[in-house]
Amino acid sequence: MDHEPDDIRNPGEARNRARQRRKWAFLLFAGLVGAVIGALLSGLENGEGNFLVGQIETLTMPAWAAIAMAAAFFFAFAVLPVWGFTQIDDYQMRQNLIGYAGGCIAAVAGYPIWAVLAMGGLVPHPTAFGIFVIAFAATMLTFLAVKLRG
Amino acid sequence: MKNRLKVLRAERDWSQAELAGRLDVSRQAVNAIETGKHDPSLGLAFKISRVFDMPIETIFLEEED
Repeated sequence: MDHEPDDIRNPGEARNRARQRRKWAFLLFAGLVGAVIGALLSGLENGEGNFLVGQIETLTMPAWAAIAMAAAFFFAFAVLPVWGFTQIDDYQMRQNLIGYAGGCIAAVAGYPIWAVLAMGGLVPHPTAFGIFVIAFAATMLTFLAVKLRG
Repeated sequence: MKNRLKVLRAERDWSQAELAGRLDVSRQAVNAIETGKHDPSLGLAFKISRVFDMPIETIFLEEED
């Protein structure tokens, strides 16, 4: 094995590779969490409708399952991202925060814009799910734009 | 803010990944600092100073108006 001499000569590159491995492990774990939530949701929901497109009025699930799913979403959308912030450097933190700011601005500005357009009969009335989609999509797009800009 | 990071790194024959590992930051962060797209935090600036064994003010230079 010739890894050891390379690691001794380039300790920084070895640490950088380890950092990259941790990043991919985090992304893999986040993907796994998403897959588990999706599988649980499809197994626990009853009735008609589609959660993924916001048709939840006719969907039901047992109270214990609802609490468990709420905890799972809190872990996926709050705990995991906040923990992720502790694993990145200040440059990546800045990119992530700009992404979240983009999503927040889109939700705050998006609702009144959508509401007045609906009042004018131009679009359907705003929905909570629609605002969620706007915020989520804006977060991702802002983050990608910042990443591509370098 | 201008900096001499790229020159100092080249003098030591270090890649961006090598310097990133020594600083415990991402390679993208090193690239962003070198190209002037990102100013490092004070903590990272001190770490850079330690890695190159040079005072901060000889690595980072204030841009004149």
